[in-house]
Amino acid sequence: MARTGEGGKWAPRLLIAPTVICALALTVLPLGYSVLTSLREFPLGQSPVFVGLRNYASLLHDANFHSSLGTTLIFTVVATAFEFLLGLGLALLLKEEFSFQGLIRSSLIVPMAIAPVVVGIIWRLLYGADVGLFSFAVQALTGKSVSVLSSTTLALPALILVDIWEWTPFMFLILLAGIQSLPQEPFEAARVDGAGSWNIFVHLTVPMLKPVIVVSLLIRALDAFTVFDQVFVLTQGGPGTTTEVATLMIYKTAFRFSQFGYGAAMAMGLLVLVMFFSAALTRAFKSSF
Amino acid sequence: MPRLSVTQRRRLWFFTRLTLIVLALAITLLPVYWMVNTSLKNQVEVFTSPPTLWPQNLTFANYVNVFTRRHLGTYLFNSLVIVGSAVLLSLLMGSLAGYALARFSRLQQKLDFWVLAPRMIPPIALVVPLFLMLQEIGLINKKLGLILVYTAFNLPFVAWMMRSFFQEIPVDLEEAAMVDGATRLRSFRDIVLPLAAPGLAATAIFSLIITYNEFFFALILTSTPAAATLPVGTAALIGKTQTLYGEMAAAGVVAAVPLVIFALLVQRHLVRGLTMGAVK
Amino acid sequence: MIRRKFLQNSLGLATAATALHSLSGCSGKKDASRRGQITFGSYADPALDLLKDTFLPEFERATGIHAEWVEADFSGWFQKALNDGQTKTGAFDIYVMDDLWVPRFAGAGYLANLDELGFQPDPDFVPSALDLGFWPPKTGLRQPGIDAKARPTLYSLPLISDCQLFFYRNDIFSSGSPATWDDVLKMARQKSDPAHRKYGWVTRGVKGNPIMNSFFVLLHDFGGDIFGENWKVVFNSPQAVEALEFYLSLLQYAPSGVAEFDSDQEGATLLQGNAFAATMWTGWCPQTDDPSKSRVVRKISFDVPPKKVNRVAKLGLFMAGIAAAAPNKTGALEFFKWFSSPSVQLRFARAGGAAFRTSALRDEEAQKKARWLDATLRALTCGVPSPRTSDWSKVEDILGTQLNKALLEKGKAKEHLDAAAAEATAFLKGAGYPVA
Repeated sequence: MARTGEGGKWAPRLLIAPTVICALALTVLPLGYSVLTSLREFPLGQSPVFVGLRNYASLLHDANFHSSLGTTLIFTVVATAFEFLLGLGLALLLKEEFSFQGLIRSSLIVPMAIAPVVVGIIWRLLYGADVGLFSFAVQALTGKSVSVLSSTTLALPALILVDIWEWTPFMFLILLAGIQSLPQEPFEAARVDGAGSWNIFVHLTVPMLKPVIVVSLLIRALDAFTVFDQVFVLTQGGPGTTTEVATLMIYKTAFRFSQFGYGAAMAMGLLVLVMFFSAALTRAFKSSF
Repeated sequence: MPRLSVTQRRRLWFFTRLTLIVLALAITLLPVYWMVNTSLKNQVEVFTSPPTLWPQNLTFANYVNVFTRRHLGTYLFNSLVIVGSAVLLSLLMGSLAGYALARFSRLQQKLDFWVLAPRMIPPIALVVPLFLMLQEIGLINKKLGLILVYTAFNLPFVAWMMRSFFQEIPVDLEEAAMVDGATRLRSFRDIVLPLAAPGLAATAIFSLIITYNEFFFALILTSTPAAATLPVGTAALIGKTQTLYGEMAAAGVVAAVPLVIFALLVQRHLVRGLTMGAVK
Repeated sequence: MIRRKFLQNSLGLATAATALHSLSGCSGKKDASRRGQITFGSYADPALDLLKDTFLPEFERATGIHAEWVEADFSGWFQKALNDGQTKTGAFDIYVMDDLWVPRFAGAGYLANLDELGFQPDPDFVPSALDLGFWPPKTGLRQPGIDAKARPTLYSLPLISDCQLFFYRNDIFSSGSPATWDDVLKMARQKSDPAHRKYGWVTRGVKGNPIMNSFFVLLHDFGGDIFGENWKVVFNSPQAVEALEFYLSLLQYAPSGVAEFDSDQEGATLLQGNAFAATMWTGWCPQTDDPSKSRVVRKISFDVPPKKVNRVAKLGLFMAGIAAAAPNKTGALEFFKWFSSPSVQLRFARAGGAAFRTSALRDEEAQKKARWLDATLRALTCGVPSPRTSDWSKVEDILGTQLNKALLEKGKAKEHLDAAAAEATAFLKGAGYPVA
């Protein structure tokens, strides 16, 4: 699409330089430190001991960690997929002008604006066994008393629902902006040619939106991989280990159990998973660039 | 099914659309309503079953408490200053970087990964090294320290987002303008920027929200209300043996207000203005 | 262009500010004005309100030292304190800690040695409360890596005597507190009515620390324990299995959602008047008589948990220690001396606070004002703390997860305890414990 190789190569470099420096300072340096930490152990009251790859060896046998990675992956994929579809739907619904559009659009992004820990608390109240509006409604409608957060089958979907509620506005926002930024002419031309709405959507809108779609999916997926607040407030990883996501495990290992080295190794493990995932996602969309 | 006339189809579409929008609004706003509802209840009513849709004993004590006993006013001020500065800085530098990335694709391929990398790393892995780095330059527990950290985090993200929005805009538009005698800068300002306004608005909103609600770094890199932000102050209501639900809800409401106001102000840029049509 | 200019200016400003800051040599730590100030770092909890609101201002009036109180959420504060101790930043003078943290903080050297600073406790301090501040622990096993012959040193003092008491409805248990656990079960069987939200028992079920704390008392009361000789894991002993089976049988009379209950929901159920009994922290005591928080004003009474084989309470004191890198150790020490003095402790108890001096807790006037002080003192005397090792958190997490699973399955007590024991033993072995 965009390819202008002008003279004056310094200008773009200068513009991009601060971004690159920040990205490097925030990745290479701390990452180096983390890797170093993961190669050591921290016995109580003594100085750190270098143990080489022992933490990583233990990681390979740690079934609990593997299952937490699995839980995280399921959470991320399901949540992101729903958020994308719902966000796209909302964006398409609201891309034309209509009355109160400002108010409605602002209202739809409010979930995103509330502090994650407060979101967790409020949903804890809503889901609560006796005191929650949600449980009360279900009981009134079906007569069965349900306690979502103590159900081994329903806890993870409940958490995913909270995430969908909170972050669909993000997808909505980006996709709406993306749709709005598209030039009008191709659409006008297509309509003049007699193409139907569905055809326009599939063959025109989506391909042109591809850059924005990839960005939105990637950003949301990356954030979903590191979900923490809601899980911490709502279930603490329970019931059993059904909502034990990787970040929770890393947090407990590094901070509660003070196993800094092992926790750092776990963080590296999560990072590897995340990198694979984003590479796969980018490659799947690469054809359009 | 009989074929509907154009007007009938349009009306059907209108009502469908209306229903869906109302449904979306209801689902979105119910928990928000519950937050406001809870913030006006006293503790005994928060846990009443069946839950009350509106407080029977309405009280503003929670709001009074969060401001007088939990320093929420200070946290609010800090948040506005820190987050406002960081987002402003990162938007300015990031958009320009995003433009450069969009138009000079050679650089783009090399930097794709690095720009997103900070978001891939769980914050826990970054916190201690960042703390040590900031401690070296004496910026722990100072607003400026957090401003720098947040700017650094947002910059790659803003650049990345804006790049994709800029990419949507065909180069021919700028080249046409430049052929007519405008400089690149001029064409950027007059042609590209207005077209990318929705993207900028979205990025601004999102960047602001993410930075405003950021908790982990604010927690570790600040220690006192001198520099701590709203998320830290709000989370402090989670005690050892108890959480103060009413006060948390009140804090949540207070914290959300600036964001909602900002969104209201900026959201009109999310839609293409009427002037935009006059491109050709 | 205008935008460029703005950009350059902001960048320049930011760089200049940073440069100036580092040039001024200010590392933000040792500020001269802090001679007259001490900074507390703490988690939030209603039990600390009295200290914060009334007694810290009094301290300032008495000594001229200003007390700055910085609060964060429970886990957030733990991370911050750890970080502060590790990096020796010295942002705080006094750490408020859960007694669970003392092994970690004292063992890693983040706390100042109170013996060296010249603090002298006296026998009026409730012994079990004071003992929690020593490292290595005065009694009991010592974790590997700690010198078996090292003399216990005082590193921290009690601040709030928080422990688990048995809360019960005095209108239902009309003949006084139940003497044995079987009595509790009997009453639950007789008078529970889940359909109308009348529960004979409520507890915490969330995996890990919450359910572990709830189960702890029963475990000991039935004659079980966590660790036996030489750190052998014994929480799958026959007594422990019996305790867990009893715990599960009580749960029939508890709310159905108990698996997701933490202190909040447990307290709420009791204070809404929906449960007859529960074991809860003393921080909840004052709330039972507050109409804005409770529907059962004056209907809750307190006692040490009932008996089976033993009769124990669980200790969960709030401790205070002086940071090793504290900027104002003298001021902090003055606070300790002032707050632990008999007169101040007496006033604290009379205001309803959970004091840690026996004389204060026994005071008649105090007991009249706060109905729970007598029970608190007795609970402290027969109280058992969590095992004194920095690795307890991990073992607690393992056991707590299995307990939660047993709760969800409403049975299989032995299997889950055995599974927990196996996992814990493997972990302890890897951590260097001499387990069999």
